[in-house]
Amino acid sequence: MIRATELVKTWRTGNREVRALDGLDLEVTPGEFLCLHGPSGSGKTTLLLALGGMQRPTSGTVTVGGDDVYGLSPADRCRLRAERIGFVFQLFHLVPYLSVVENVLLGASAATPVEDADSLLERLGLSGRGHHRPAELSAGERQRVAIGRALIKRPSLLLADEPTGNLDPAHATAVLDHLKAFHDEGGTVVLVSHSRGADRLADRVVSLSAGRLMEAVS
Amino acid sequence: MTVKQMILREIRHRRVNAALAFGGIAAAVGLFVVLYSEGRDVQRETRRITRDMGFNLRIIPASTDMVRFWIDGYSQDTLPEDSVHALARTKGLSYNHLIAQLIGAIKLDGHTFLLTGISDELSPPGKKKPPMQRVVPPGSLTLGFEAARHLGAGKGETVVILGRRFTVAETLGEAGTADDVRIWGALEDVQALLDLKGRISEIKAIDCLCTLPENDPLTPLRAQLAELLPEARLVQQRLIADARARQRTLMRDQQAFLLPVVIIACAVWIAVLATLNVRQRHEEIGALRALGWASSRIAGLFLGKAVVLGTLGAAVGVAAGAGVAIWMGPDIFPSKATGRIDPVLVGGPLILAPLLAAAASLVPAMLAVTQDPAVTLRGDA
Repeated sequence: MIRATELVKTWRTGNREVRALDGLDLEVTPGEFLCLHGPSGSGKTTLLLALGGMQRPTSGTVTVGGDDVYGLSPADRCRLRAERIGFVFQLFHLVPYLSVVENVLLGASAATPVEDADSLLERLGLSGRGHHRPAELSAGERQRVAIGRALIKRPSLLLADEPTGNLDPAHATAVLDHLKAFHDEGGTVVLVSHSRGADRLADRVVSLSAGRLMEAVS
Repeated sequence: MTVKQMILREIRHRRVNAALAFGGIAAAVGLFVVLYSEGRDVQRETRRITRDMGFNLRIIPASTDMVRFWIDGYSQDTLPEDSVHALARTKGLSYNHLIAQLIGAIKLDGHTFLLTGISDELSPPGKKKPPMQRVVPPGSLTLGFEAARHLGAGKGETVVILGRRFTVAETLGEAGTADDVRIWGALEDVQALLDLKGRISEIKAIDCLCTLPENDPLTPLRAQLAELLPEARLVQQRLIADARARQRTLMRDQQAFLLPVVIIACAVWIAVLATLNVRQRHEEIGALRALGWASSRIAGLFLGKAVVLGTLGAAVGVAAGAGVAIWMGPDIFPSKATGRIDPVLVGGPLILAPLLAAAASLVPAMLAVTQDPAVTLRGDA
């Protein structure tokens, strides 16, 4: 279970205070596929990063599997992300000087055999691309590598921030299919998206506006 | 993927950044080695030049009539010869190159000459240095320019002085000083000739305080002497002493300025490049954070890179610097260049350059681990 309680996150821009999250409450049950919509600046990414232990809220709490994420020591919070949470970003953020296989293995423990990465890449349709550099791949391929990097450690929670935002429709569909496959295997997914294209895959769709959950769409 | 593997891959990937850092370290280390080793040669050369200026201290009997001393150029009174041995036995003495002299004016063929007996050079315990003064073996003489001319004697010939025969060991060129009318002999020979056995006129020495002239080195020297030889007094040849002190201070100050400038410039260069590297890699840092990398591991990417480049740069810099120093040194300092590199100059940079590079990269590494990953990981960033 993921639970965010009364989350507030404020930023200061010059003399102005911006409330990215404004007392937000959210629960995501294990194995749920949650789709999160909202316009730019509504706080989607801030919420996602806060759920993943990457963005300390100004106030409020986040628990993942019973652990108070921001009550953990920095080392334990790193361990939580390393073992239980996978991230996928819109801009992939692959390491440019590592090969595809090495990028995928970055997300794994040192004991993970290369064969695991190879078989994951095969499932992601990237057979034969393992030794290429990210710069040699298309955007869709890069995003699939990023998904592989997030999934190699077999996380229980996948947090995806606009993973199809930079992709053409065909590649976007392929990426969403991989997220769906992870969900079908029992994983929890929180997907942030501008578009409604992913709604068909979600168990629940919520909308965010001005840092608050406004409605339950389905 | 280990941190070490990532460091090596990143160095290969961002070759320009790595090459600039490596080049900066190699250049700084090379320059350091050249400056340091050439500086050592300059110091040796300076020591030789200042040594050739002559002795700057004269220890004479306290009873000396100073007016007459300055007119004659030597004291008419004498000290026991053991005075020089007493000084040479004393630890912590601020004098070195101790030579006992006995001087007396003698008439030969109607001309007056300064007969000067000189002892072997002595050093206080632990301060043994190569001798500065020529040695005159017993039974032989060294003749100043005018003395040789008036006596008509050349090297290897025999001369008679006060009824005793001596072999001329050496005749000197024109010095333009009272040394031109000097006849040098072994101390014991001159003591016998002047009938002053066991006596000396003065002890010549060099002060080795090497202090600034304005620091008044005479007071501590005189205090030492008053304790050891109360029957003696000290005269300092101020111009020579000041020139020695100024030259040595100049060399020391030049090294004290140049070497830190090289080190600081190198550190700033590495810090700038490391900061640029951090800025180039902010997305990577954010992604690694999302993957659960701890701050220490991320900092290790930058500090480890600095250590790798520091080690490689130091190795190349030492080799290049040593090569230049060995190649150029003898051309610049033909008399004193050693053509050798101090082992410390090889080992020191290999240890210190990686540490310096890591220290210079510390702030950029801290910037890397403290940057807010949310800023770089946003889709609209």
